[in-house]
Amino acid sequence: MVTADNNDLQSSQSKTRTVTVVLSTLQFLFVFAIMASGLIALVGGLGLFIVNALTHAGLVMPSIFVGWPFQALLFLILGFMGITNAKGLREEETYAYSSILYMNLLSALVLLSIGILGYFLAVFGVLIVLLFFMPSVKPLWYGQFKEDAGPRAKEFRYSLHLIKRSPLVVVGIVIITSIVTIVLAAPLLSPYGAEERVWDDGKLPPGSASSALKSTRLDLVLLSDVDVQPYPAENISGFSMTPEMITTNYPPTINFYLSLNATTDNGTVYLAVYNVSVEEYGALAPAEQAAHRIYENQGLARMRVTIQLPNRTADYTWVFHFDAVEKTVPWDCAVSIVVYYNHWRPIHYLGTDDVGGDIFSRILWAGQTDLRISISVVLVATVVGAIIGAIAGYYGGKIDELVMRVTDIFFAFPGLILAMAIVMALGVRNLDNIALALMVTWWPVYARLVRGQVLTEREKLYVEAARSVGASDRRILLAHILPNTFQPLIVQATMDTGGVLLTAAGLAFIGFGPPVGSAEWGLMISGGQIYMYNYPWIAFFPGLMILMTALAFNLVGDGIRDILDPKLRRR
Amino acid sequence: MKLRDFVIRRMILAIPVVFGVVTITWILSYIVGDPIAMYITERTPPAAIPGIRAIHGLDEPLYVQYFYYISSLLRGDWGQSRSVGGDMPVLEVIARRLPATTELAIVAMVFAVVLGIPLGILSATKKDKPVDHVTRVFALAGVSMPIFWFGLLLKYLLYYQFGVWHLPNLPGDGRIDNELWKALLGNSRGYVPITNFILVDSILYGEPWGFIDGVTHLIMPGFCLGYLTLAIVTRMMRSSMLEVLKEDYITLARSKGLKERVVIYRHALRNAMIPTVTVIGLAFGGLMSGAVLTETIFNWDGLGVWATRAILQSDIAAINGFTLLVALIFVGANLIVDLIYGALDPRIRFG
Repeated sequence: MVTADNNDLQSSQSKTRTVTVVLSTLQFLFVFAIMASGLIALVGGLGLFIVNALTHAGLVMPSIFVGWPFQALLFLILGFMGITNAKGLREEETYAYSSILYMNLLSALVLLSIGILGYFLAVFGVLIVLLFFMPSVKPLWYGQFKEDAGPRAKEFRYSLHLIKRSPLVVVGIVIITSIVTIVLAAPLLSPYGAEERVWDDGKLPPGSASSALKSTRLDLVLLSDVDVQPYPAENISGFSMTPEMITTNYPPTINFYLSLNATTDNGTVYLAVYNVSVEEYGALAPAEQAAHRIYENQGLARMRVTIQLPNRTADYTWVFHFDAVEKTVPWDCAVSIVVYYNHWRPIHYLGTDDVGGDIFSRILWAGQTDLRISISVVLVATVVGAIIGAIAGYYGGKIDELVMRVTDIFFAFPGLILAMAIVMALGVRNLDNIALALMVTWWPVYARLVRGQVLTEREKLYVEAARSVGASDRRILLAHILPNTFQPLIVQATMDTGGVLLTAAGLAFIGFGPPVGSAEWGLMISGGQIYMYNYPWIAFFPGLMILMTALAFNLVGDGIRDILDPKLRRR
Repeated sequence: MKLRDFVIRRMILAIPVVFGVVTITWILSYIVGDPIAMYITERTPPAAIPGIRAIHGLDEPLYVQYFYYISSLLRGDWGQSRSVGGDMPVLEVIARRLPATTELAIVAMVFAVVLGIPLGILSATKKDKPVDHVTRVFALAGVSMPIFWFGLLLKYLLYYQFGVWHLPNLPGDGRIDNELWKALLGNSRGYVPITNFILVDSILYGEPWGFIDGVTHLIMPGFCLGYLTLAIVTRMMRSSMLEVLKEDYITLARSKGLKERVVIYRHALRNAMIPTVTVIGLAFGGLMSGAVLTETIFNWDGLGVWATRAILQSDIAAINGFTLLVALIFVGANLIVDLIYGALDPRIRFG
């Protein structure tokens, strides 16, 4: 009995052991992937920057390498901390689990701001965290984690309770959530694309219907540069008009485009459409087939036709072939057959701008850009600033002096003007550079804030206690001091998200942003500026969105300042 | 004695900041392009460029160039701006345009202080009453307002719609109505600047109508620019007033049976003003940022319009000059704030 139990225990232990090793290997992989992408971005971006600065050339690299140098810096820092964690995980240290939990989630957040590569890595990072909850690993750390998290969860519930009681914060959160949801759902909600224009619809007032039909598109055949055999080889295919495809008064249409660029002039194109299904078509005699034919044409090498279909459900068959006496090389052949159905006239809910862009759709698409920029700027500035400020505050002395003088210099420039100069210096005016410039201008705020907090925290007893049990400086700073500086940091970051949004929009407004015509709130206002008197809605709605978003962030920040403040928290 | 030491200490502390600012503008001019662009214009003959390069030491090693740059700044040679229609030394452009921006900033500041402080006091004394809620939302809206959009809305309402409704409307563009000035002065050029402060000049010319015209032109851009500062001042005043009202000495004053007015305006206000003054001083930098946007919208011929145009035309000298100037103003404002701080709060011993 005893030996069996022992065996069981041993096997389960060795199983746990294997799982932890696998887990820590995965974590190592994740950390190295982050660091590698950070390194690539940093070296690529810096290299490009230096080359451009030295030669005054406007070289452009794929944005995946240069778009996010500050995130890259962050990845390197996160990576270095992550290696320690992964090592700890391999040795089954309990602290490693919760540390990895937080770090991977933070990394995932930052990764989300760098694009497709980031999405993959973020999912990978979250997956590792999820693996912690496997039955063989969970008991190793979960007990202690729960013990740690218990009081925190209690505080968190109390915060939620306080939030529910302050109406302004609730309003702010509701506005932010709805704006974020609407903006993320832009592909579903907006009838038009970000840069789509309906040229006939210029300057329409809010609520007017578009003059151009819009329809759902179904690609049946799309071929280009293919080797199509000449007659007697035929292409026979079909499709059905289902009830869902017929919902309006406008009949569906098929667009046929057939072309044959033969080197000799002996090629012709033949096309016929029948209102029966493919099976029926095959069963019919040629004479009966002809009776069902609704369209037939023979063109010289090229044919472009639109066929209107009756507005009811039916099956259709089309046949096309190329007639050529001999097949000469090369044949350049293109075929496209597209069905347009469910035509409708979209309503321009918020009107259109001077060139017929639908303002409602453009506001939503622009929201994605603006929110992404302001959130990633604040995120990066917060983390970079917090780390620099924490180091300055903890070690003091010369480092502190240096950091404070540097922040002094940054504070001497008003944000907008320094950002203007930096965008200018970066050479290319676009949103990525605005984001970069704002990151450079914003980090000192957080560095100052965290430094002040760290200065007061490091004299406290619990730090003394941690030092007396031999905790390393890095551990004291990261695990004990930094978490206690989060409250003012969160408040400041929330309010700054609105501020960054305003500054970014302002920069775009005076012409530092993306090229004219892109979807960006500030740029949309600047486009509507000259039409303000006669067509005020062009500039009004984008501005309203900026105001609402910034206001919501400020409401929340203002409210949680009181909620998180330990002095005001319990009375 | 102590005050003098304090001022000197503050000034010494400001020196590294100024140096940092100068260095950053210098580095920026290198990144943007060849710094020779600061000193030449389109009409400079190509043959003269090597000479100009030598004069400004741009053929020397970098560290020598840095000293040349600083020394030419100190000599008052800030380069040539070419985005003002014709070329002009940067310092001269600044001298001409600074009054316009200063006038606007002062009016904005007046709006902010005259409305913000009473609103803050009102909000604090009527805490959690409807007045307080309205004031807080008003102030929050100011902090979240895209200033360029607010300016457009003001123009649409107060200039265009009031005109449509045949109400007395405010002028929407520019600093003056030059037709009026032509009639007033009886010349063909209209307004000729003396100090370029419209309000001062109209007094110097002895033209009351010119003064009124200047004031009507100032109201809208001034308020637009001042709204952000107004919001900041209101919020700061409210929170510091609330803080002060909790102090023991206020309870004492109340228990003595003093009237609420006296308690607030005699006892509380002075101490509550201290953080507000800091904020007002720091807001000057914000006003300069805001001026860039406000001036663009109201076609106000000041530094902001110049800076925007300079950046869009890659006029490096102008960008550097403007950035440097704003930073210097900001450093100066901070210095003054520190001094006022000391004067308001006797607990802060100078030095």
